[in-house]
Amino acid sequence: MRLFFRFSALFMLLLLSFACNKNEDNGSIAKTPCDYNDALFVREWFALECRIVKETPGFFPPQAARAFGYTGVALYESIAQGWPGAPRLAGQLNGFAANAVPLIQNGVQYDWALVANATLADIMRKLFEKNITPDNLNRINELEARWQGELSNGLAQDVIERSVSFGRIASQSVFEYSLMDGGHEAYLNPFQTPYTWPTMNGAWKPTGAVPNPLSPRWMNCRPFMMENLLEAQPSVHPAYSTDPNSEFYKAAKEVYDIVRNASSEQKEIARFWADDPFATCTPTGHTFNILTQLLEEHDADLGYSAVAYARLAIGENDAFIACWKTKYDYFLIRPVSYIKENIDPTFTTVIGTPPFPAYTSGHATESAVGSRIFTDLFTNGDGFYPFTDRTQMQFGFSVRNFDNFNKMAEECANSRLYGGIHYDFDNQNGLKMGRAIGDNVNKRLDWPEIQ
Amino acid sequence: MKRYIVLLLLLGACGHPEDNLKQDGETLATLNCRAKKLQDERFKLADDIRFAEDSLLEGKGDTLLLKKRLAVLNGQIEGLHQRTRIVADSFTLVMGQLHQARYKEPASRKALDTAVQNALSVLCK
Repeated sequence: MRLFFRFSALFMLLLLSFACNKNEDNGSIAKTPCDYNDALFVREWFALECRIVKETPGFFPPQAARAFGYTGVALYESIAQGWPGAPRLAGQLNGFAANAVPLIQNGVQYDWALVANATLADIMRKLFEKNITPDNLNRINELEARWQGELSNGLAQDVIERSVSFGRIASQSVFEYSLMDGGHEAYLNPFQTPYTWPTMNGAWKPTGAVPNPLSPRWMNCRPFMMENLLEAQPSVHPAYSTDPNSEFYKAAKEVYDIVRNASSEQKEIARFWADDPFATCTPTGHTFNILTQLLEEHDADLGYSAVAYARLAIGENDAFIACWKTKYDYFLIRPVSYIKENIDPTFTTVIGTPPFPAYTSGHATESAVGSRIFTDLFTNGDGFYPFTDRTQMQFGFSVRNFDNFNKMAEECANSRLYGGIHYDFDNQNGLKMGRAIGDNVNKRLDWPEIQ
Repeated sequence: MKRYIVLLLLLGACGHPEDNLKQDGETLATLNCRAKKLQDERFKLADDIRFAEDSLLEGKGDTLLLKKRLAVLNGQIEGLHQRTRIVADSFTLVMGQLHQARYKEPASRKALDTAVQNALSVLCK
């Protein structure tokens, strides 16, 4: 009987291995990135990046968005030259010179999946270099070797070597571009201490044991698109006041009332979008996980996947620079501090308040970026898309269903109100910022046609 | 080893599609339930830590005792994280394999989601 199970299991393994790779085009010579029908290896890289962000000290939301940002840009830029007519990001992104990535050799063959695989491995090693755990460095090396082995099947040795070599050159070029953006190795001092805080009525104050606000100079980082920093800034928030008739007091009282009367559904939503109190790959990672799920559901090819990840990467990186500029321009007190001082000293939030100012919400900003990019990629422009977020089931959450990407972003934003973390105006203006940034990425950069 | 377990689970449900759905739903619900219990532990630990930190910040209670308590609580994070990761990895592997093997279409995945919810209401009280 035991033998029967062993043979049966082996048989199933064979079946499953075909099922997992049904569209792989390993043995043939693919002409462009779109000829690789399945981009499972790319999705595995971004899943690994989520894990590495979680487990590498110093990767808070801004640093994580930057890591995902340069990874997505490197992926796209590594394969763009293999895609006839595809615009390159070099020459389009802020400070990324048109000649920053060397040209490929004419008249010789490259395998674009191998190029992408080498690029993703190399850029991840570089972006996390100083703090990565030995286990995670091994995971990068093993994933690179496994896919290099699978993707090399049937290819001539010179094609393999040339492809891997160019993948690393592309990665190095993007990494060099990243060195001067102001965020290089920011994970070594994510709180950017020392920092002198502004003092004024309504100024942020510590909400827990962390004495300093996170990344107060992140606004000085170079965005991929300058317009995302300059044009997405929100209008001013209601003037700080302790007058019970003021707009500000009413906004804080709204947080208080919602938290005090929160339904179990609202608490679940607050936790769902907060991800995890100790080990989260940050809101950006959650949105990348959603994209990974969407790409898997679409059987997206390498070209489509690269465009999708690059768009989200650019938007997320810039969302955290723009949002952090707003946070430190206004340096606004968190609801928990205001409520304890002015409404109820015993007030507690549903989830912990992160250590940085309130206005605007990072979750709202980044999820709106995702909603705009997903809308452009997966819908006819109306955002309607029946979608189930299963990315958090592994952590004990139930699925969440949406029929529209805008609603997904709105729920993510509202989750911060339900959690007692943000005023509603933090969320609404964060959503506006994110939508503007997402639209910029979709419309102001040239992208190849994808289907 | 994990892959072997997944295969045996799949093998055990090679019968009628509705039997598969029920069994697959139960398999995922069992893992999701374990993950849910760990999630509750994580959020409880996080609450305990922040409330102790609040007390320390506001000068409530014995500072020395609070600091000792915080050290103990913080010492629990890594172990909890490890246990969380093991369950999360198992869940991701099993769900990914099931999706690839039997639930490729959106409608069938929705049906599996429902089967998981149904099983959870029984298995995860």
